[in-house]
Amino acid sequence: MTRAMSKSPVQVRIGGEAGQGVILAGVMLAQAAMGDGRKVAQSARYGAAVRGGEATADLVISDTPIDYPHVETPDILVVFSQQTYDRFAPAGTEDTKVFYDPFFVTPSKTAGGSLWEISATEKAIERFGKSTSSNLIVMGFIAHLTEVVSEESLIAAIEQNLPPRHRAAGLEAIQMGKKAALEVGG
Amino acid sequence: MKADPTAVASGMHFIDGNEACGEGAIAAGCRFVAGYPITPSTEVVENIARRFPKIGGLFIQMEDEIASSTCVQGAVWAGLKAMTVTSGPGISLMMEHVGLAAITECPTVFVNVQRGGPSTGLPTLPAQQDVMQARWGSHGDYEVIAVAPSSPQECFDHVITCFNLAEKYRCPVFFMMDETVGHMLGKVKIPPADEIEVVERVYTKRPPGEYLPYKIYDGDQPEMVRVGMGHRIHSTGLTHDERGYPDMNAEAQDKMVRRLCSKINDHVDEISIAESDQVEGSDVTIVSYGITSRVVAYAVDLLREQGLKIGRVRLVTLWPFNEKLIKDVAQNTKSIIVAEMNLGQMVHEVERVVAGKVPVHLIGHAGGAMIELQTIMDKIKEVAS
Repeated sequence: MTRAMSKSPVQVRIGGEAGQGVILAGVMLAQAAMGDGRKVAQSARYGAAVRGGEATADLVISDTPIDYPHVETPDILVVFSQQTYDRFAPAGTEDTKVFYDPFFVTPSKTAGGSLWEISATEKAIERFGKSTSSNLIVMGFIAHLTEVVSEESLIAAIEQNLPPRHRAAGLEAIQMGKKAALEVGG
Repeated sequence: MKADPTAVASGMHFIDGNEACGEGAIAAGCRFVAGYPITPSTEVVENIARRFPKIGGLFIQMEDEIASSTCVQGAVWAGLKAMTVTSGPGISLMMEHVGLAAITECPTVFVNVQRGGPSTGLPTLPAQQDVMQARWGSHGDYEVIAVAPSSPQECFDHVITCFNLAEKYRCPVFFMMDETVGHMLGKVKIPPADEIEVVERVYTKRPPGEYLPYKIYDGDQPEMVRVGMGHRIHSTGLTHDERGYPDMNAEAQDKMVRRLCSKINDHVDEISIAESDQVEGSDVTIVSYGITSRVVAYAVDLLREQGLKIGRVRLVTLWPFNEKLIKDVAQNTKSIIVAEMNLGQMVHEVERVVAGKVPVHLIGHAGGAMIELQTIMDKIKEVAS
């Protein structure tokens, strides 16, 4: 079993546009962390519009009870939009790992943290003909690179959240993310 | 009395505060919910609407909040435990019927998942701006009970507290959630049904003809009847006598209103839940409630590590206000800070009770986000120095 990232607490923020699966990715990552036996507080922010607008999922994963449920300084920042990159990247430190999809985000040179590019949207369209699994490709990518959650628990969370007809594609997307991680040396 | 094992979703869950609130209501025996779904409370009734058909409950999506707040009271008189669920604009519309529940002594739970106001304000963002409204929102003199949870687990646990208190004191009870706690996901442990204490309604054993609906017999509260027991009763929003008939004069008003207030005010110790931690000998004690208390707890931990002597008080029960607790705090600390996600509401209660004995400061916030950790830490350091 992959050892889950031992830092405690780990702060994860996922940002993007409403409809990109940002909140669902946050929920699945949180469930996976819970599956690893850790404590989790997951919260989300979004606007009043049904579609579009900014959506953010915050996760705090810890081995001790969590008082403050929002992310202050992300250890892991995942961005699916330029807007959320511009907004949240400057709050990171040099230890922050910033994961971005170049389809949506052009990172600036000034923001702190290490940059990790994952062409999830491109890969999803190439393999599945649409972009909807891109969030899961990113989850597979970061799970492998950061060990924030174990692969087993992530798979269990996907099985729990996706309807049966989407599960096979979801699990494949995770593997695509893992493969991409291995290619960048994770 | 214990919860119904066929209805309680015992086990470990990863759910948000809203869903946990619905599960708690089910565990408490609630089988009727009427509401007009509104952000950020919608998931409470979504869950209820999914679960109720399987356990013999009834959810009605009403035409508006005014109808919702009376409909649930009809269900109570019909013999069910009932609640309505809403947020800012909805709770404002319901205020007249909070008074109705108070004067008819109808045990009704009002869940308010608070969002930023006034008016439609911030539908998807949190606030704690309805605290005084819960206490004073309907006209006339009356008392309510209000409870504020700070985690999904407490949304489950304390909505049960609300139902139990409603039955015990026969009054409207507010469950003062907020958007953050409502939408926050976390681990929620739902215990086996036989570990969940549920207060059952006290129905009269007196036969028709020998029963008066607002007479105090043996217990602390009048005894209830439900539809089908054979009694004929009159329940009115007008000032009434023990028979429930309108009796509109100063004497009847005095007797009735004083009892509506004293039945709560004489039992603050039994009703009130609070956490108090290292207050004695502290340089500053910070008082908070609901989601804000979590930021405060974190700030206090960090500052204690730096050697600061900080007390911490968390009010779980907001109303009735625990005067004794705050008086005690004022005697054991050098200054008090109240942190709340409004521009100053509970701080006035604290100031009233402290009565100048020690300085009282406010960390206020107009809502829309939790108060930032740094803001709280800076203010504590400023006051403590």
